[in-house]
Amino acid sequence: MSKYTPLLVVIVVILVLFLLYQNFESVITSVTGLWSAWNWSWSNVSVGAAAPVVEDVLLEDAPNDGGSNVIVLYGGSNKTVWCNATVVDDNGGANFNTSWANASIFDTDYTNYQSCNQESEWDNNMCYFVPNETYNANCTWGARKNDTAHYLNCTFEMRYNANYTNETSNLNWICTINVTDADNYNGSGTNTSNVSQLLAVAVDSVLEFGNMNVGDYGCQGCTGCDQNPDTVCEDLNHTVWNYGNIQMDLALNGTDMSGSNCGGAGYIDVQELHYNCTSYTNSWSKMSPLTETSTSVNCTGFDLYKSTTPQGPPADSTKKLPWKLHVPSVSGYCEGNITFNAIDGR
Amino acid sequence: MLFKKKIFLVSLIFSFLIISNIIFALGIGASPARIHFSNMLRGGYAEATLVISNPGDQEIMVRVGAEGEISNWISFDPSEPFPISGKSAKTVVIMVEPPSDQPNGIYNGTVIAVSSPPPGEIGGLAGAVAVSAVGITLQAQINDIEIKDYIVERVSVVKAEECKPIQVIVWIRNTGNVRITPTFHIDISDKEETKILKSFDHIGKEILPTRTEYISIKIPPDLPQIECIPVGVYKLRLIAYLNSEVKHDQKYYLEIVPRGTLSIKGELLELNVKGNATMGELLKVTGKFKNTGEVPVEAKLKIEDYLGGTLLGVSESETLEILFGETSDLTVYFTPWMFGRHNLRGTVLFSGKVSNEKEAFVDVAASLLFIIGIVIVIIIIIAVIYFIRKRKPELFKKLKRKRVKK
Repeated sequence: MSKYTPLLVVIVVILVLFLLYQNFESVITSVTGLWSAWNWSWSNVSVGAAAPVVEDVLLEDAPNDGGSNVIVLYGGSNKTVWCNATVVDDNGGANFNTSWANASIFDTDYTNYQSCNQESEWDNNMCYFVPNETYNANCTWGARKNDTAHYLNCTFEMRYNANYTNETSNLNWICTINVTDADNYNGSGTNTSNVSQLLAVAVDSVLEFGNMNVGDYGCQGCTGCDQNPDTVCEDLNHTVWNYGNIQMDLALNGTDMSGSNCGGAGYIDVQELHYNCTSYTNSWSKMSPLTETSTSVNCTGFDLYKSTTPQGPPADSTKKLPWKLHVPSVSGYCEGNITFNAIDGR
Repeated sequence: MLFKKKIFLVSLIFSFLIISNIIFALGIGASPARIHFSNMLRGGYAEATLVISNPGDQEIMVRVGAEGEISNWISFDPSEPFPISGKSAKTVVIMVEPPSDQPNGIYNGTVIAVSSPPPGEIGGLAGAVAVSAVGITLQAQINDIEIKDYIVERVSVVKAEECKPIQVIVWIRNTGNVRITPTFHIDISDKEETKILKSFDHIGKEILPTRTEYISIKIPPDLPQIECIPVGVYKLRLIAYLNSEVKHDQKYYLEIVPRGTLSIKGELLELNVKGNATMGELLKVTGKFKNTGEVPVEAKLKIEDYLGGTLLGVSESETLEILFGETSDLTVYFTPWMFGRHNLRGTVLFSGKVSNEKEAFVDVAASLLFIIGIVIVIIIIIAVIYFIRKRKPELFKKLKRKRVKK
């Protein structure tokens, strides 16, 4: 026995163990941190299937008029809302080709929000989801960020009647993106934003009282009206639309009706125009006189609610405002302005 | 009889069509419906944006004004009436500046946005044109307590090319009631955060109370620590300070890509100038430029002024940084000194590139001063000739004799 025999035995044992133990490489790697650089061809380390991670979710509208975390809706129209994210999958870019993604946005006051992923739950007021081409919403994979990350872009066409963020109840909107990769692993991410209150009104462009006689109270064709201010008769109804997402009232004012073709006295005083904010078919004397532009009068109690149509384009939310006119000693044709100023009616 | 019936029917259809055209719904919208300015200083400043929309299909003209006890403190941008095309919107900035002697308290007002009455005739004896408007409730609270604060709303770490500046864009909202100047510290390390490769400090710009602005931080490649960070993915730590207080401390991924990978593209979408002007009038030319590339660019608008094919002059705007995907207006001011139809040709110079060209025309009329000047010059010439003829008639006689000899 040579003096080197024990050393040789130790070396042989290490070599045998080295050859038998397939994961030796990883052990060495973990100990020295150098092994991976040697790039042994027989190494057998496998990366397990990794679940996708949804990062940097951002819910915002385009154009982003109100700044970060605020979605500003437009009166009577749809607004494009984006919910974008970066999806990281350590299994590499190929996985994205077959990955499946969906997204939903809902307001936090919506108690059934967990069901906001099926057609029956779609609601313009509180729940939008994708994918569903019927509802103009879409999720697409965007550009590749790097080998393991991809951008995901989801769009929604938010209706003008979507619920606003309530300052007191702190109601806001959440976007949730769910991703399932080719290995059937799931990942999800969320982001929160506010929907701004929208006050929007539309009115018929003109009020035509028609051909009336001097001394008449009412309008041409207002059945039952005569030359008595106390006669209860039909009104001239003027349509007002609520194209916003809050209940509204009106503040009204106007100008005298005059013009170069307005003969006789030359004008009809603005106070000869009477209206009623809460009831119909009253006598002229029981209605309120309109005032001049500088002193607008609130037509509270008009209470025109927002449209609550859940699916498809929101149905018009309208209300008629009744008017009557007293014609003084004028002739020809007299014209003025009436301003229908929508105010917050909550 | 049959002929009369036909005429009646045609008249009825026409009347119906005319009435249908005259009466239509005219509307306006505004968001938000209420604006509250809290914790204001006397003599301070705050602003908010109001988005005004047009629910109809036809263009409307909108004017914005204020009513109530704070109406004198309020100004708007834009302050002049402006058009909004159908189914679209515009943003108005509401600026509030309470007087320096205003007592503490809560003050109310209303911002009213009115759409202009539509043109049209009204049948019958009397009628009224309906004007639609929206009234936004304003409230301003003055407590005269100085508040210095801000929040970082968003951070974007822009993908950078190797050996090119690294750019970080930070959106900051001033949530206090005095001006702030945020400062930043950035560390770039390897992905595992074992070693800091670059460190950089930056002093941001001043931001007014309630305003949200972005600050663009550019880290030059020639810092002493390491000249060029190799291609790869790194960690970037951003610390935002207000004086010495840390307001934001977060880590982001930074990706360095090979040179020439990122596209620098842009498009000049529109070139606008008013159609008519007079000589000597200062004109504003606006070019709408969209950055369609992958990196922010520094862009300036260049205008060439041609009259009858002759180049009269060149004007350039100030350089403006435009983030990728964003559209900005670049403005050039110039004064035409010759009357006629000026052809303005605009291009945008950005990051060593030139955009597509757009044209605009402006008809410049001779100014009254110019006409008076011409008349005066003619009068002076006539007067000089008259005096020479009177004082030295021999000169004219000589000229006459020469002409006769010829």
